Amino acid sequence: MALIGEGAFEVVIMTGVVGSSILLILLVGYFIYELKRREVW
Amino acid sequence: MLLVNSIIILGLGIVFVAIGWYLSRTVRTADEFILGTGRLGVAFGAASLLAFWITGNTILAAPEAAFTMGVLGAIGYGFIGAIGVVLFTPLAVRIHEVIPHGRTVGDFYRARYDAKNYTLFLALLLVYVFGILITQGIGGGVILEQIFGIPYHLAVVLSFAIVILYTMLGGFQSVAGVAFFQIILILIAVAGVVPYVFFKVGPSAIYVGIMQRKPEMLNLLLPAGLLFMFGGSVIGIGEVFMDNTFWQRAYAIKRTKLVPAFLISGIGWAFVPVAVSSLAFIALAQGLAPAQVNQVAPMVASKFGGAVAGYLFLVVVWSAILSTAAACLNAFVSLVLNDLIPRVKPGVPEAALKRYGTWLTALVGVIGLLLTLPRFLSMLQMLIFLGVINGAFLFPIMLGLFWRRMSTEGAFWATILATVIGYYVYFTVGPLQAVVASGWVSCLVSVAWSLIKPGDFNWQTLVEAGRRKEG
Repeated sequence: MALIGEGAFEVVIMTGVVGSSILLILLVGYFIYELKRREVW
Repeated sequence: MLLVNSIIILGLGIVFVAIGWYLSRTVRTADEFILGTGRLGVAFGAASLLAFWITGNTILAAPEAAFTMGVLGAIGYGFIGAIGVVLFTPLAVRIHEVIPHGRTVGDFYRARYDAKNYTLFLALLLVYVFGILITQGIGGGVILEQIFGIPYHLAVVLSFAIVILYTMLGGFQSVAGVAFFQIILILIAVAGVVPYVFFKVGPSAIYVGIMQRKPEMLNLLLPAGLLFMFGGSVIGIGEVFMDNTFWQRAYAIKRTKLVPAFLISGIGWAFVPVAVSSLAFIALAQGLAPAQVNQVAPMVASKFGGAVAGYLFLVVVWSAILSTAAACLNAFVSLVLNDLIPRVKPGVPEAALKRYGTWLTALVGVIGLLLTLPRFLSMLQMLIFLGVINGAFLFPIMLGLFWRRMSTEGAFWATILATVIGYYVYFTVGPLQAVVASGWVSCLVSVAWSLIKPGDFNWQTLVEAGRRKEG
């Protein structure tokens, strides 16, 4: 068996968590930018 | 508890319908009902793609894959969904180039191939879209009943009522706009609940627990996991390439924003199943066994995160199911509006066609609701079953967009043979093997036929086909 190490296991999970958070920040940020650009808000 | 859960569902539904209504005010024609009133930028484009593609399956079946296939199941699920969207990026750019005035995948297929290909494609595509719509309804009903105690029939009726209402109000405009808020809710819960629960239990304790109880779940060469990852990618790619929801969004997003929108949503999508899968690892480490394996993530969220985390998860599952069901419903109605009605009843004015769209949405939604009530399908089985159809159309679509010599007869027989052989393998060997077989037959027949008896397609036909409907 090619077992994944503890460090790599944590990296996999954290990639998912951090990636989802970055995605959230990007989408909200871009949404606010669009609103500002169109002078909606 | 039932009352609280039902109020949450109803409250969310009212918010979604209100947003849908607000965004629908500028929608007046059938074109706007299908594609929206303006071209989408990166944020709304990517959010619209993500909201459709993050389904109830992503939130529930990804942890299920991790629970049964370990680390490879989690990574594999992320890979399967992401690869299809990432590979669709060059196709989306090409679609804008060769058929710039198109609206649906039907526009392309009708102009690129002949009548028999188009009829076959449309028939199987409608079956596929309807199948996905019903599976979302069934999945939603089952999940809400089993996990949150809302009776199945009430859950299904509530789900469909909300989806039908906001989809019929503004079509694509409402679906894409509401989807943005749904994906934000989903990501808030994923980015909040998952790390909270994961760190509450402790990364080291989770790893050691799995090592002691089920070390094979940490194996990166687990055969079942490898088959899932690479066999399943045919489903992911085929589904994206054939699914009208992706074609609609390829047309709806500004041409200059296509690459970032599709790449962000493809790569970004992969993070979500990996993150949610970590809840399954907690169950493995603690030796927990859910009554049904697809309940593993909500079970862990409620058990270790408390009531708030449990409710947040309810929001995630609910939003994911609604956004996918609404996108399916709108894609189905768009196909009928764009591809069937103009042929059956030519010369219908745009405003009247839009009214048809509104009432057709209600009609199709109610039929979907009635078919969902008996609960005769399993969500994941149905997706893999439909994956054979996706695999069959994979190469006629891909090669048809890029290869002038792709033969019309080759496309027809590739689809027929891939479907027949795929379903033969499905019932004699296994579901995932069937999808792989379908993809291979589609590839080999398309390429071999086109090399032996090559076609000579004039790309201008596609441009003209799109322009024909304007004005």
